[in-house]
Amino acid sequence: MNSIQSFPNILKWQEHFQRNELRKFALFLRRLAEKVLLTEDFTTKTPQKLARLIIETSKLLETSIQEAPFEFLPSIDDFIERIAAHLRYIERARITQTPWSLVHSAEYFFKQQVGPKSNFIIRPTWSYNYSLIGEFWGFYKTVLKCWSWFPLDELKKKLPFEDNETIYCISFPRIERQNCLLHVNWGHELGHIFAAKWMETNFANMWTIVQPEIQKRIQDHVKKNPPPVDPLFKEVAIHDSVARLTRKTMDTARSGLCELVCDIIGVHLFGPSAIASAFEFASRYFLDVSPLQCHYYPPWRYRFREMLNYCEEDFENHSDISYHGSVIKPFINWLHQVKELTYQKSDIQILESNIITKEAYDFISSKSDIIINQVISLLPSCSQKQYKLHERSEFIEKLVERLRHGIPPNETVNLSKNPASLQDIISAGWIFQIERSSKDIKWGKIEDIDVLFRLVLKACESSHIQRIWGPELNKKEE
Amino acid sequence: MEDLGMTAKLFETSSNLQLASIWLKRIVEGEQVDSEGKEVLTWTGKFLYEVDWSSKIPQKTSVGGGLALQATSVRPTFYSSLIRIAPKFKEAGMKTEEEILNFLRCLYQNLLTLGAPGKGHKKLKYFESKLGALLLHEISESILIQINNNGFPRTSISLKDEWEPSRNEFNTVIS
Repeated sequence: MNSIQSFPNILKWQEHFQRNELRKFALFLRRLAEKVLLTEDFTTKTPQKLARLIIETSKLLETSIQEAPFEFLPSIDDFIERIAAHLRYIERARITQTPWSLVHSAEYFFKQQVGPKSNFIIRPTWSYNYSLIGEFWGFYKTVLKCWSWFPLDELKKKLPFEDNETIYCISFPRIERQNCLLHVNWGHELGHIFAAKWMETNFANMWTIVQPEIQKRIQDHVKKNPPPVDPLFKEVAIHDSVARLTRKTMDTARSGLCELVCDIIGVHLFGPSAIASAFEFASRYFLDVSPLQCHYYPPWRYRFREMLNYCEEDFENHSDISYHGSVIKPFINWLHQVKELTYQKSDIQILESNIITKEAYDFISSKSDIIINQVISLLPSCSQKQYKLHERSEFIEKLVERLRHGIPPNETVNLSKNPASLQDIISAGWIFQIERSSKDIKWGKIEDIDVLFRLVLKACESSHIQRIWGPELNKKEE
Repeated sequence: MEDLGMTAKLFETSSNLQLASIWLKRIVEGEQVDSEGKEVLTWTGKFLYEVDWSSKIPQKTSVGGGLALQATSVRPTFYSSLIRIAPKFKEAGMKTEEEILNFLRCLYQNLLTLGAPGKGHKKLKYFESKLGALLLHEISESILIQINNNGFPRTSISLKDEWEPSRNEFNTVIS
């Protein structure tokens, strides 16, 4: 048999082999997901929901792969690989891996912001980073809808949650598990949900208005220094170069805007504590790195400037409420030092030195105020009002007083009907930490910090229990 | 943030282009286009008009911002795919850039008319349909490879040419 005659047979053999491999892959994934599901020591029900989604999806893929056109096998493989990797979020959400006393109150807080149909997995990651992954169910639906041979409706019927529910995963650095003060960075991550909602409906329209102008300036720039030309593709080569630069500009603008908006959401929800935790996180990195060198993230100095501007009111001395008194003053002074770092404009020089970042950040600075207002309007009515430290100072000072006595700051009086909010507890923790370390240079040993973290974590748990069960217990007492 | 929404969108684009590629081949074999095929071929025609800056259609149908944004993301992949299959254009007897651009315009029109001839364009010949299908397959596959790196791990510590000066990307504004 010559090679031409054998060619179709080889293709058939390859297709048969590939299909079988994928079916096996789906089967292994299902079995593994079932094993993970058997582990029942999860803090909340959300990890199980994601596990069920993976099990049911792989079960249906296993039986329907036979119907898929050959050309789609690589994308099916990629999808299975991708959802297999989602199992790690479930596996890492076990009680021992998480700051479990904070998980319930954090998820409650997230649900308050995003809505009762939202679900959150909180898990550690070995890399030093905070992140939000999701939304899972939306991702599964979008991909599976592209494959007409996949029984999506059947999958929906088998799921242990409703079609309009959402599942997200919020990650934190494993090494910081106990560091509840740093976990205020979750406010930024939560912001990604709202930023994504805004981006989905508004960014395209806003960008398509400005893109022709930007594209024109980029084209002029490329024409001054044209790329090496293939005689067959003279026009195409220039288009190619302009297309790459334009896409990079759009990606820089979109990602930069998204991060900045999320920073503001963090500050909006948690007040200056969000700046403190962002600063603690960023203090080990360079402040003025171009977004083109680090996956489109804005320079830290730029970010701090924007965050500090947003809570300017908290820096003013509100004499009528004894704000900036001895308890809060060290914290405000500390933030003033962060502010001083932003007086230097070296980040702006970096951004302006390149056509991509210059165009992207001109766009961002001209639109950010409007966009931030629009994104804030997406928050629920209970969170429309910005959390302002000076408005909470009197209450927070009492919580700090409890920390001084080694008592969890979940309330100001014993068996209170008004438990402290997550934001107040965290603010008290930050204020206490900065005050102690500014007054006593010996303070800050691992035991000191450990005690502080435990008290704050305990407070988060207790206030959550008080909030959820308190009204019921009160009724019974009456 | 790992943006699953963005990944899903790219998956969708890749799937649509792959399906359109399959349908182009089916049409040339004489198969009737069903409703799914109709939807995907029309979408692909509109999308490629938006992607290709050389398409120069006199009365461009207005597309939504979402499609325009998707086009900006996919455009470099489109041009790279075009350059990659250049030998196939030469094999098909296209010797000048103008001939290739004319072929592309004809391809987009055929996608919109589901393979039928129309005002200002001819029906694609057999080899042209195959070439068009190959281009769509190439773009689809290229998008998928960008998502999954073809199964290989992504290197995280190798130094990369982050400013790509050879492609004009980091010529400074002030220079």
